[in-house]
Amino acid sequence: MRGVLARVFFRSFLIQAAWTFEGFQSIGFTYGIAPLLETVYPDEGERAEVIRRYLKLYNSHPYMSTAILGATAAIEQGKKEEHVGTVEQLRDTISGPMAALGDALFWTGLKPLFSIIAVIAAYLGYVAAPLIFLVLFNSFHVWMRVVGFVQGLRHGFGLVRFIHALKLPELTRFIKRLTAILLGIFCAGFLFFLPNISTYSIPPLFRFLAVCPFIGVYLLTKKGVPVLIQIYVCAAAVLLVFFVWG
Amino acid sequence: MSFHSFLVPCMFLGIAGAFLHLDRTYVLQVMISRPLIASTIAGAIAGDVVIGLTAGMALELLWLGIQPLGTSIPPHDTLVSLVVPSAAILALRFVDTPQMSTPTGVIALSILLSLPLAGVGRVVDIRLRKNNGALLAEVKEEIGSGDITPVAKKVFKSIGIGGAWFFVISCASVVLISSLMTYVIPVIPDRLWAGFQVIGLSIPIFGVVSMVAAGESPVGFVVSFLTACAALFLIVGVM
Repeated sequence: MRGVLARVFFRSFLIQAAWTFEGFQSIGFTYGIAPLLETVYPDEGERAEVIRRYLKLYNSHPYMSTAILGATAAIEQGKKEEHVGTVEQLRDTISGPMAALGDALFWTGLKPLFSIIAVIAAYLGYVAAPLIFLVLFNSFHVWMRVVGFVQGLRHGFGLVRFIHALKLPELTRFIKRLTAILLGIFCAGFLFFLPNISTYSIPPLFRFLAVCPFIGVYLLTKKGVPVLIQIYVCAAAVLLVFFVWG
Repeated sequence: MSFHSFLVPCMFLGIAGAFLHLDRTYVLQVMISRPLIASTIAGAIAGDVVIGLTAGMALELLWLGIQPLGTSIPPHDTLVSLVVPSAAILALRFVDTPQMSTPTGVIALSILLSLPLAGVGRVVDIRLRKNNGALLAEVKEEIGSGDITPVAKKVFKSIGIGGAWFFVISCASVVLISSLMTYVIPVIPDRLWAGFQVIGLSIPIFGVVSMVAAGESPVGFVVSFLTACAALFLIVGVM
């Protein structure tokens, strides 16, 4: 059974491989749990019915889905006769909150934090900066997958208690504040050590006048003006200035 | 420079583009598709890691606040990150320009030409996911006998189609943008290159500002920014 469970775990890395607008990650989830279904349901007719149920809509955060797969595997191994309600309840009740937690922690929390750390390292001249990002981010990513899967396997529905104990919303808030602070430090350093533009040398005090256009960009972004349009308009303005007075 | 030595890196960049696209959603998601990493990889393949890393830093900051939340499909930053450094490096091989020593301006030009590709990549991504709907319908029909192999087949079919599409798109984009740059670079007046350098240095700020605008702690950002400014002036001094 350990080999089967290992296959379920590794298949969770492909959970979004066949993402659809009709079932979201349903094909990927079914693909993940498939090795276990083969073992638990030797009768092909019964298995077909179970697979059909798994192909119903499912969507969560890809990293958190590994934990849900673990919990599903625990339920499938245990109370087979009651599984219909339990597995569907599990998927319906957990997938949404887990998606919200995963999105907040990984996409809006850890990813920007480690990106800014890696970019600062790159600006300081570390060519290995991309590796710093990969190691930092994936240590959390793989940890969540492995521990989530193990906890899911051990506790089934009790996985909720484990996730609750991690205090992810508090952790995410802290990470976002840390990211904002690092961004502020980065911007100050970026402006202070801004290289000379061509032959123009810019005095440091003058460089901080660049804060004025930033405030303009901030206000435009808050008003919903797409960043892409802002970039092209600013680029056209800058090029015009250099063309006329350059 | 021969046509052969242009085409071979384009093919490798196409293969890299396919794998990087697959990392975005299909397989692993270990974030090698992030601009910082994708650009560095593209730079290494095209022959200049430093240009790759420089472009990656700017693009990473530009896309910092854009995330694939829920079922939303963000612009394809990976495709842009692949094309920007490779087009700049390949174009600089063809044209003789003093900008080779300070590539910030050339990278800025490459970014301005490549940014629309983010939208193109997104449209293709959406199209591919819509087409996957047919795979779901097929698999529901084929599992009638309880055989689970159709599920695995659909997963790998989806990966294959996604990879193939982005191999072609990456190759075509690199060829298109680098060819465009070889024609554009020689006709740009010298005095405009300083402007391109300003644009190159400003692009990251758009990303940072949009991140702050979307974030929860603009106060934290402002306080740390002002504190860091004051510290830098006190420690390094006003020159």
